[in-house]
Amino acid sequence: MPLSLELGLLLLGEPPYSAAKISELWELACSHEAPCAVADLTRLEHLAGAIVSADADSAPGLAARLESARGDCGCWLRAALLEACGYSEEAASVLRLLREKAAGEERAWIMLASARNLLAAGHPDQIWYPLAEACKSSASPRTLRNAARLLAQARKKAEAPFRRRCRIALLSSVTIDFLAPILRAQCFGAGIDAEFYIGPFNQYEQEIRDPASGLTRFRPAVIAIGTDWRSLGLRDEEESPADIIREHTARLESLWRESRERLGATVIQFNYEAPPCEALGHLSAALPGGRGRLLRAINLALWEAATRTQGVAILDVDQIAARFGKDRWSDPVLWHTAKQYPSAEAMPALGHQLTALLRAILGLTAKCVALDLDGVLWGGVIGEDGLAGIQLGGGPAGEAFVDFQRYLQSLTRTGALLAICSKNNPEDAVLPFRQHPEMVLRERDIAVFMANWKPKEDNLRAIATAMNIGLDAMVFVDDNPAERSRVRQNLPEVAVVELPADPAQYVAAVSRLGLFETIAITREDRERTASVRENLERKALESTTGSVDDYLAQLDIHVHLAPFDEVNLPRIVQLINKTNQFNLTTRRRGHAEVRALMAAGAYTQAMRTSDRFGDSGLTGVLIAVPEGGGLRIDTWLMSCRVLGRRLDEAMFAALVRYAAENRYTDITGEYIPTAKNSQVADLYTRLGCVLSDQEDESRFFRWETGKIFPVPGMIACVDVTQRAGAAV
Amino acid sequence: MTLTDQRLQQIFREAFENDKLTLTDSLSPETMPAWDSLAHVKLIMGCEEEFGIKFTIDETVESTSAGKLKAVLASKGVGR
Repeated sequence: MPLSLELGLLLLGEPPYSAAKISELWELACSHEAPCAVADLTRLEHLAGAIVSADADSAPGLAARLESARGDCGCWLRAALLEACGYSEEAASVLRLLREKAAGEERAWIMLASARNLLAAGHPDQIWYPLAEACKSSASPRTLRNAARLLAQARKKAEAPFRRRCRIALLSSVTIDFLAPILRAQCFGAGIDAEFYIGPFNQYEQEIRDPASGLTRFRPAVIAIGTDWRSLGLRDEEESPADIIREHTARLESLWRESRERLGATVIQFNYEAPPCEALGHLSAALPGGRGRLLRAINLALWEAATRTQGVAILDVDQIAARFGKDRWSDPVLWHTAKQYPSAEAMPALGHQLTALLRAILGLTAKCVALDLDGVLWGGVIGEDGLAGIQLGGGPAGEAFVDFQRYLQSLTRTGALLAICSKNNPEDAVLPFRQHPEMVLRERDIAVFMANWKPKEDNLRAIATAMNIGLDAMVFVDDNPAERSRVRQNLPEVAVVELPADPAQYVAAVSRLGLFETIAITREDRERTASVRENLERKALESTTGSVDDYLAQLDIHVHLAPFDEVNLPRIVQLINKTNQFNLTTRRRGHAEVRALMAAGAYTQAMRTSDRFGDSGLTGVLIAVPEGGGLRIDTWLMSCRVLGRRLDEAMFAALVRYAAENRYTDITGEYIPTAKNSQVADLYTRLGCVLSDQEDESRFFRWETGKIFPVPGMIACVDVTQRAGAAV
Repeated sequence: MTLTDQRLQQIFREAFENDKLTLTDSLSPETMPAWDSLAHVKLIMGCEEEFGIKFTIDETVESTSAGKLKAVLASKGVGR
């Protein structure tokens, strides 16, 4: 039996090494073909360091001898030797070959080494992909901390790609400092440029209430209130539990109010872990005043309060701790020595879920799951095994696929879209959807169905186009590692799920990513699949009718324009934070900020539309602010699902009428270009406005009151925004 | 430098964010102003993750120099 690498390294012992010993190890490394575990990776890295520090001159020769190594371990050792000698360029090119070969922590380790060497070799612009992948794959506090440090170094040399910027205040009743670097790395992995403020230990209440606090000066967009169960000071058993629940909830609610109204921030409130070690044992949750019961009751009360309050999201710490394992969630040594909670190893799990919630708040929730078929929705190959031959229901393996389908179907009710992206004959692919009795998913659950023999990256692009979403909003699920690797290389923006071999683990693998986390589910979310399918039908109609206006006339379009109110605000804030394409200024705002604009007398317009194919719901938002006798359009956006129907004209017509009736001298429109909104660059000129000013990237356009702007004839428009203005 | 020293040096470099740091037994809060309570916890957490061990409260409190930290690691069987 050949020597295992681990044993070989162990036998090698401490440096300095004899030439004979190194030769022996080299033989081993060259022939070792099994994938590396993180333990091997670190050992080899230190070994390389030890060899170089003992005899730097021999290292390049030793690395050259590893060129013939077949396995990943040999490649890794070679890269580590090259890095230790300072040959970063060469190390980076060896690592490039290894990058897509590993999953999980090993992947993170290799990606981080790749990024590190690319930076050292003077290619800061090339490190973003491997660095982001390291941040996404790792659950190690140390790897994430190192990734955050590398990120900071690289940002001094090149511009990092971010989808959102966010100022986040971390306030806590415990030591939370260690969470910041981990969270920074995880946020980078999610495309969020996070700037942190760490409140002083256990002073969250003073910080929020004091107008002169560091928190106030920081001007946070998001305030995370990280309270822990110990800070409540509950005894094992309390005498008046109802009072305690009321007091604690009221106290936090008043902090939320202060955070939202005075600081204009969105709140993330941590709930309370019910700790695993209770003297009362099971009775802790059974007795009316037991601490376990009380903490759960407070959690429920917090959820109820948060549902009543917009702009507050609860981070379910109790659930995160349970999922991680409560015995490892707390580290009594770190608690007693440093008031550190949770444990070091648990922080990535906490940070991961916090990032998922931040992503939801910032409008970065993934919009589509693109699914392979064979091996993903059922076992076997439909094209070869036929309807009766595939594994689906009726047995343990088949049940796992049914379970995964149920999970996917539930996702569609939160607003996610399903697409099929499969290499199959189309007639084979649809067969189970139409005829298999155990199929949970039916064709109506699938927004876009692509079964053909084209490369998957082409189909993913086509799906994104059909759904009118960005590739960065897509999640790709495929059981074939070669397809996954290909998509990663060709479309690095797409999130690729590292699917385990066992279908029983599929649900956990997708859910663990937290990519579909949302803070609110609107009616539009629940009906999104139908809406995309209707849109495809509209396109089919469009291709059979002549002019665009003829087509629009046949659609029978109805529009309803209303001012913002408490009922439609969640959807409005959702749109403000996620709309990219038809968005003139791309200003992202939370509930509190929108409310402040409303209170300051802005003209607000929420557009709903429907046609003969269905109801698209609230899909347009316009905010115009009075300024120097005129109105300035602060925000104007429309959901990509309703573009090309002259709805922009209906919205503008209402604004023009409002400006005239309320004696505003003119309307100023602003266009701020982004990577995604070029389609509205000439919107204002198309509407008849005149370019009036230019400032940095922004262009300003002017509409003089007095000119008439009609609603297009084929649109039936009900406008109740005029009345609202008069009432203010 | 032994492999263990090599690994420990890397933990120090990461905790103090200094890639040039050289590990010597005399490193301590007295000789290094950056060695505050947060840095101390970073060192302990780094050692726990790197060597797969767990520090007791006493070991955490007593490891107030690189030399003492090495002694604790040795007593826990690291490097043997």
